[in-house]
Amino acid sequence: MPAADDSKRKAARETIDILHEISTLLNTNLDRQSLSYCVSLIENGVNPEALAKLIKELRVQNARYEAERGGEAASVA
Amino acid sequence: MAHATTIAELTEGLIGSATNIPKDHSLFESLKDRAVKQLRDTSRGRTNPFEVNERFSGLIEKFGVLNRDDLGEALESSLDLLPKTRWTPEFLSLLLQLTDRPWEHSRTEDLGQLTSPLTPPAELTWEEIVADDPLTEDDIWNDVERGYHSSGDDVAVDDHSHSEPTTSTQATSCNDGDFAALAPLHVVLPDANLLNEVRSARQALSKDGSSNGMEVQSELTLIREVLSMLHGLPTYVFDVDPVNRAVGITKRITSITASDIVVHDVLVQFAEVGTRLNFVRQWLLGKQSKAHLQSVQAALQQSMTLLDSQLMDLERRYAQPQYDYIVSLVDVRRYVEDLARPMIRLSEIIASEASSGVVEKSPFALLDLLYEESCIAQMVGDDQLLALIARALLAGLRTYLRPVLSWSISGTLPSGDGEDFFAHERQTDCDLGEVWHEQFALRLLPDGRVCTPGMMRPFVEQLYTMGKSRTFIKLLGQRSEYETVGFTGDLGTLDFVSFTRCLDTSPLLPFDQLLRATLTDWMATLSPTTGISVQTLLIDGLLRTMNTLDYVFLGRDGMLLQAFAEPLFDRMRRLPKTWDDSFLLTRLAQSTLGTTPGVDAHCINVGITSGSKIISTAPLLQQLGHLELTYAISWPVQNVTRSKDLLTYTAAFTLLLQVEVAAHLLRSQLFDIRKLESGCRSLAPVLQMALRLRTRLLWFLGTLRAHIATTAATLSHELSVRLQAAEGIDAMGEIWTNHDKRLKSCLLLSTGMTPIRSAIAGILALCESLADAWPLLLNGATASQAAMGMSENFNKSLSFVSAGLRGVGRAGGEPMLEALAESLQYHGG
Repeated sequence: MPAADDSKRKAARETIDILHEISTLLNTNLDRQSLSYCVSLIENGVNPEALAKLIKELRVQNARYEAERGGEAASVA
Repeated sequence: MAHATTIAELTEGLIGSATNIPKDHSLFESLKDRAVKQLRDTSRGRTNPFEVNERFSGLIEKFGVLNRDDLGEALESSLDLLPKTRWTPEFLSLLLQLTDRPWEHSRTEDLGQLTSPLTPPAELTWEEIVADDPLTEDDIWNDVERGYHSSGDDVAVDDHSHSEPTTSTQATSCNDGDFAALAPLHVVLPDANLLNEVRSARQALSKDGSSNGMEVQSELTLIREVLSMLHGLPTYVFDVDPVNRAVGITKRITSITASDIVVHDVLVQFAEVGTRLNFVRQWLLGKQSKAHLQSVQAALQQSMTLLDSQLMDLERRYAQPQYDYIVSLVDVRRYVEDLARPMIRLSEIIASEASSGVVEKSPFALLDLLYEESCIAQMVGDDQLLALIARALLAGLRTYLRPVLSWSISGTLPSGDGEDFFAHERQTDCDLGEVWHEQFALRLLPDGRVCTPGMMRPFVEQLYTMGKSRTFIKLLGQRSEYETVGFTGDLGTLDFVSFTRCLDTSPLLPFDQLLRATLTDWMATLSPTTGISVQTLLIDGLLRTMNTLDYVFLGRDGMLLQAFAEPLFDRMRRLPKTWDDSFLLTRLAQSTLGTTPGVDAHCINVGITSGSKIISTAPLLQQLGHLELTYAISWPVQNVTRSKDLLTYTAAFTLLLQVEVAAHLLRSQLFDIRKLESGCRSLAPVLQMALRLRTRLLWFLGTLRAHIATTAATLSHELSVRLQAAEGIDAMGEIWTNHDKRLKSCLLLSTGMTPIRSAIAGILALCESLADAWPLLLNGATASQAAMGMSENFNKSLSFVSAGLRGVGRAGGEPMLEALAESLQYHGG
């Protein structure tokens, strides 16, 4: 039923909004989209500790990748 | 698999949003693989929500300590607003693990950026519209022609009168409430042309044609007229007599497909059928006062309705033919005659019943006729006729049996229809002792038969007795089990469906036998299963009363009899003029005969026979003949004995008393012999003769006494056995009557025994004479002729008695009289 789906979507949106507020207050550096992916993963049974560990590792990898790219750009210039 | 795919997709999305690594980069793939593997690990347990709450509480407290109350409050309010789901602890746990010194870096102003309201879109203004599409055209302000808008929203009100309306557009485009305009469009109008033929046929029929000419009509028209007539409706071809509903033909009609004679003959036959059906219809409309006839009417009305519907099926064949038929009047006649045959036979039965005379007519004459017809129909195998007749019969019989059931269960006569019931109340204030025989009686017809349907006659006696038994039981203060449990009886098997089932399984079983068996089974359900029946309630009292009578009247206990007799004799001798005081005699009897266990002394009464007068100078035995001992028996026993006076027993007691007096008088003489001189060795011949006579007289009295005792004991025992085996008061009454007759005969009290009884009375008188003459005989004052005379008298009387008894015993087949005769003959010499 469309009305039920709308209310579900609205509830999910509200949850994401409030979690985003908490995330911002706690300075987790998670943007809304990443937070949505995290919520979906948790709802699919992913362990939050494992997920937190993954996010930290991704940030490290991302920093390394940015550093490598920055070094390559400097060398090209 | 789907779950793994979902995880992989979400992980890919997370990596894409959390990092800037492009998807086609090798690092992305390796990261994704590692991440998926890592995330699939489910070895870790669920998040502890209490721990999460504690950490948040700790964090909020820390915010307060670190002077970041704004953060604490904002966090607290966000936590309160967060919807509580299954995964909420997990979400919060994730955020706690990713938190990075919020008291230093977080600002509540950042929240404003997250939840800033969306700006509504700018409203469209006329300036913008004009800017897009300037109003410069000349005809822009001209009137718009109707019909320009093709959206269909406008009501095309003016069009429907010109164009052919179509139901669909009109229905969807009409205003609410315009149903009057819609309704005619949904009515299917018949094609009026189809009836033209019927109208013209009717017109032709309704014209008064010339008396000489024959009207020619089609067979279909004639069939239509015939079927209308058979339904009892007015037609043009047939006319109906208003009095007797007889059907006649008004016109000379013929058809081109058949000859005049055939058409006329067939129409006459139809008229006959119509007459019979009208007769039945007229009878069905008549008011019947009797309930069973109303039930018969109702059943036959259903059958008539069925016949009408079958005639309608015939009509439908011509009005809505499913396939081609040949329209044939003769064929319709054959069909109708077969259909109406049972009704025609029923009309004959009803006519026969109505024509029988009133005087000898039974109120159940119709039921009897239906019963006979059912038996015949079943025997010849006419199932159609049997179905019609038997249904009506059984419906009437069921109604008739309802008051019968009430009578059988509670002894209550019906109030409304009572004048036809087989039992009626003969005496309303009947003496209790006559209730069984006098209160009710069978109602008889003038010809002497019981007023009941013929099929019920074999059961009438039983039903009559059942009802009387219930009344009797009620008078005894008992309630039958049916009244206690509210039994309503079951007439369920007395319907045609059950009968049909039985006849299907046993087709050779005659109808009357089946009905009789069903009625027998039904009556068996009316008999109470518990022990309360009239005979059960009566038998104890009856046997007690019989036992009492043996003790009181027949001297079963000789000592008690002697205890009564000797004071009585003494009183008679001492007070010859006043010994017959009833009160004193009654007290004497109650204090002697009434002392037996089981005897109610207050029921004993002694008096003098009404109309007789005691002569004080008469012989004792003669005076004793006027003494009357009575015993008051209870009213239930009176219904068996049919009399409160036990004349036979009273007469037997008197005889017994006379024998006792005679023996008493003779016994006391023995002591006188001792007064003779002791030296006397031989007695005078007169005295010898007297002694011999005395001995013989005593022997005679002893034999008679023994005969009375034996007879009483034997007959009493037989009576007791027969009473216990008796079924019902009528059988008990018959047994009692036979016993009384036999007792009378054996004790020589019956009218036929008068000569023998007189001879015995003579012998008893002889005893008294001898007793009176004894003192004179002892003194030698009396001559020997007197003694010889007495002896001769005795011999004569004895011979007469024994011969008479022998003859009566052989003629009547009474062994006890024969035994007495033998005793008197062989031992009396």
